[in-house]
Amino acid sequence: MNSSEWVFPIVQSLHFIGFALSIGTIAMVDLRLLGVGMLRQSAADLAADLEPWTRLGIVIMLTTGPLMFSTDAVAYHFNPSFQFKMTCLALALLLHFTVHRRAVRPGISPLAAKGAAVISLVLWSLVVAGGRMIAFI
Amino acid sequence: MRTTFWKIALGVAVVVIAVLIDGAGVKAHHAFGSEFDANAPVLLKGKIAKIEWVNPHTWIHVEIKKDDGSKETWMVEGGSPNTLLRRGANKSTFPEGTDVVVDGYQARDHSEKRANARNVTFPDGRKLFLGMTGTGAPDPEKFDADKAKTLNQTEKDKEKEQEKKQ
Amino acid sequence: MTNPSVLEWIESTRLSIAIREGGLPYPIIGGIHLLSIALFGGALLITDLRLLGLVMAQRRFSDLWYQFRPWKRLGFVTITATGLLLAWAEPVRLYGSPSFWVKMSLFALVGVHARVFRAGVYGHPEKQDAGISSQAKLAAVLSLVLWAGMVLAGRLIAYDASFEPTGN
Repeated sequence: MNSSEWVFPIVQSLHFIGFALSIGTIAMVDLRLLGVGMLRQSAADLAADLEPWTRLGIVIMLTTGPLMFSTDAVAYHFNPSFQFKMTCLALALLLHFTVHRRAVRPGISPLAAKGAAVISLVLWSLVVAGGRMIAFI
Repeated sequence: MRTTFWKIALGVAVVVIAVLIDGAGVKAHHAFGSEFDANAPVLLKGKIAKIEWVNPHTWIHVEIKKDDGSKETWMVEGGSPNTLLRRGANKSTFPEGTDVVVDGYQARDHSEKRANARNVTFPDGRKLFLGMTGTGAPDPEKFDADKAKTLNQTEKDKEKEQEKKQ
Repeated sequence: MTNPSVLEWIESTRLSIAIREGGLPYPIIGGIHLLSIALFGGALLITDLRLLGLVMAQRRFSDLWYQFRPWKRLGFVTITATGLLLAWAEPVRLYGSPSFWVKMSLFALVGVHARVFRAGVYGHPEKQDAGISSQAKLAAVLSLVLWAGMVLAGRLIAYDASFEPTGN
C-alpha cells in the first residue's frame, strides 16, 4: 500500500473516533438527563466536565467529514441518505448548542429535560444511521 | 484543564492538516474516483459467467470473447444488493449464460480486468442501471458509447467505427 | 487459499445468506455496530483520559469508573454481537483478509490487557482516587492505542476485500 491509499481509511477512522468522542459524550449527558445513568454527578456537572471533549469530537468530525465529502462532492450531494444525514446533523448541532445546554441547568422541569434528551439521542442516532446508509441506498 | 484542551485541539489540527497536505490527491475507496478511471469507459459484450450477489457490493463476472478468439472474464462492480433490489432487480435477474452488454469504467490499473458498472442491457433490450446512487461515477445518462472502448468488436462494430472515422 | 470447510458451512446457513445477500439487514447491523462504537468508545475515551488526568481531574476516578461501566459493557456487548453477525455473513472473505486478522489479534490483546491490569487498576478503582498510579496511566495509553488500532484495522478490511472478492 502506498501512502495515498492509507489516507482515506485513516481519515475514516479519525471520523469514527471523532463521533465516538462527541456523540458518546452527548449520549452520557442524555442518559443522565433521563435518570438512567451517570447518577454520581448532577447533569450540569457532567455536561460541564464533558463539554470540551464533546466539542473536540465535533471539531474532528467536522474536519474529517468534509474531507471525505470532497473526494466525491457531486455524488454525495445527490445521495438521498447523505442529504438526510446532513439535515439531522444540522438539527442535532442546533439542539446541542441551544436547548441541550439549557436542559442540564438545575431547575429545569424534568419532563423538558427528558424530552430534550430523547430528541438528542434520536437525532444523533439518525446521523450515524444515515451515514451508514449512504453506500446502500 | 483549559490549556490542556487547547493543546490537544492544536495537536489534532496539526495532524489533520498534515493529512490534508499529504492527501492532496486523497483517494477514496469505494468512492468511484479512487478505484476507477472516468476516462476509460469500456463496453463489455459477453455472457454472464457468475453473479456475486453480496454485500456491500455486487459483482457480475462477464466472459467475453476477444477478436483473436481468446476468452477473458471481467469483474464488474455493481451497487449493493439493497440498491439493486430497490430498482426491482434480484439475484435471479442475472442467470448465468445470459448475453449481456455492460457499460462501465475500467479500474485505474488498466492491466486489471475490473470495471465499475453503469448499465447492463439484456437481450430483450431491458436496461438496468447498476451503479449506486451517487458513487461519484459519471452520470449514467452521459455514458458515451461512441467513445467507449469495445473489447470484443463484432463485424458490425468495426463497420460502425470505420464509418465514424470517415 | 484453503478455507476450512466450517467456514463454507457458515456461509451456507440461512442467517449468513440473509445478511450477505439481503437488502437491509447488512446496513442495519452495520449501523448498530457504529452506534455501539459511539457508546462504548465515548465511555472508553473518557475513562482513559481521566486516568491520564485530562478530564474530570477534580473528580474521583472510582465515581467515574462505576457510572460509566454499565454503558461501556452494554456498548461492548452490542459491538461484539453485531461484529459477530457481520463476520458470520462472510467468513470465507474475512479468512483471507490480513486486516481482519490484525483486528482480531488486537481484540485478543484487549483481553490480555484487561487481565494484566485487573489487579493493579481496574479491579480496585478506589486505589486510584488518591492519585493515578503510573501503571494506571500505562494501562490507559495502551487501551487507547489498542482500540484506535482496532478501528483502523476494521476500516482496512474493506480495502483487502475489494481486491480479492469472494470466489475469485
